[in-house]
Amino acid sequence: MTKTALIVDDSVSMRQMVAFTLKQAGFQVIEGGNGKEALDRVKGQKVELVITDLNMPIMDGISLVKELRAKPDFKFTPILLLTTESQDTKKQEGRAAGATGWIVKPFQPDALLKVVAKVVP
Amino acid sequence: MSVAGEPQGAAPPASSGVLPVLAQQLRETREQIETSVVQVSGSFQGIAQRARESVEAATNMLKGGSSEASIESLVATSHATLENLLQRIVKGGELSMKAVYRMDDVEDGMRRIAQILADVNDVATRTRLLTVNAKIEAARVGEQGKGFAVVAGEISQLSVKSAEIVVSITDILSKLSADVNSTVAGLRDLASADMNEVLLGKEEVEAAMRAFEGKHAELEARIRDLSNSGENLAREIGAAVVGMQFQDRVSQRLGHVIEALEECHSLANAPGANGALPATAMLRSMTNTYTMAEERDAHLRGSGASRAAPSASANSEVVLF
Repeated sequence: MTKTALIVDDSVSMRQMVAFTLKQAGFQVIEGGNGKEALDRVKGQKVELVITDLNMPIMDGISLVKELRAKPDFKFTPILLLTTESQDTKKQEGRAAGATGWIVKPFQPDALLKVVAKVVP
Repeated sequence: MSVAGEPQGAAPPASSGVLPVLAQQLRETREQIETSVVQVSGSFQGIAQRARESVEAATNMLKGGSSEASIESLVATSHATLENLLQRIVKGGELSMKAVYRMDDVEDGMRRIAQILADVNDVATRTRLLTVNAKIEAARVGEQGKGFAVVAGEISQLSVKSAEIVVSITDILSKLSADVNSTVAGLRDLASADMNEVLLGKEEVEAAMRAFEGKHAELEARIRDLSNSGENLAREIGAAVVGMQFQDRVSQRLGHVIEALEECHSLANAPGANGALPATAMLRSMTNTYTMAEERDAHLRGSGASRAAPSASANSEVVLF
């Protein structure tokens, strides 16, 4: 059965690259330009994976992670933060919010797919 | 610090109009880069997908996909089918030869029957002679020989009948012999022709199969190259995907510079500032906006705190919590 991934980033080209990579692994994708848009787009949808940027206008990645974890359908969904941030404080903030993992941009497609294979059996 | 004699609320220095212009230039540059990269990215995805599909199609052609036979298996099947066909033709030729040998046996049998008939005919002839002698003796004996003459007469009739039967059988045998000879001649010709045709056909088929296998080997080598180039293709696509992500980093850095310029403009135009900038506070504020190590490094180099050259982008870090 085809799995669905939610990709959230205010950069269109980043969303394109992540979508291109995940589609090679058989995912279909839903996109959002910020956290609020993402929450609107996933209403009523079954999603097996979330990959989100950290710094976005309107609603950032940390807030999105907290909102998703509060939903029963997303309690155990793997959520990966894909960000240019590399500071430990931010990383810990992501972990505390409930993120599953942290990937620093730019991502290597093979490395991303390995992580996805690990968290989405 | 205000200029002496200048009234309160005077217009800011003309140079303060520069910063908004710079900010706008950078904003539009950022947008142009994003638009171009999105277009290039879209084209790249199409090219990469078509390249992958070509390599996959070539690999399937060589090895066979889920619903198709591969060239390899088709060559093997064709070879086996032709070999099978040749063997069946050879077998047919062999069966024809066996039929010829059987007909030879039939001919032998017919010759023996003819010999036996000749012997029977001989017996019949001798019997007739014997009956003639018997009749003569019976006549010489007179009245007492009458019974003997009758018996001799019956025996004579039987021998005549035997001779007639022998003639009939001999006629039938002659016809059969002629038919058998004709059939044997035909079978011999057929068997001979079959074998010649088979041998000729076998050589031609083998030559064609060798040529076919040669071409297949060439094609296989080319397709294997194409298939192997798929690994290079995957690596290059991966590198391109990493490269295409530059726009996101550039956009973020430009965004931070634009924010800094706008803040400079605000501070320079704040009441009482009169174009002066609190540099230290400004620089500290800028570092708070940075999200990337390369921004912090550039800040240090720009402020003279570091002379280290820009380092190559660090490998992507992956952490699972």
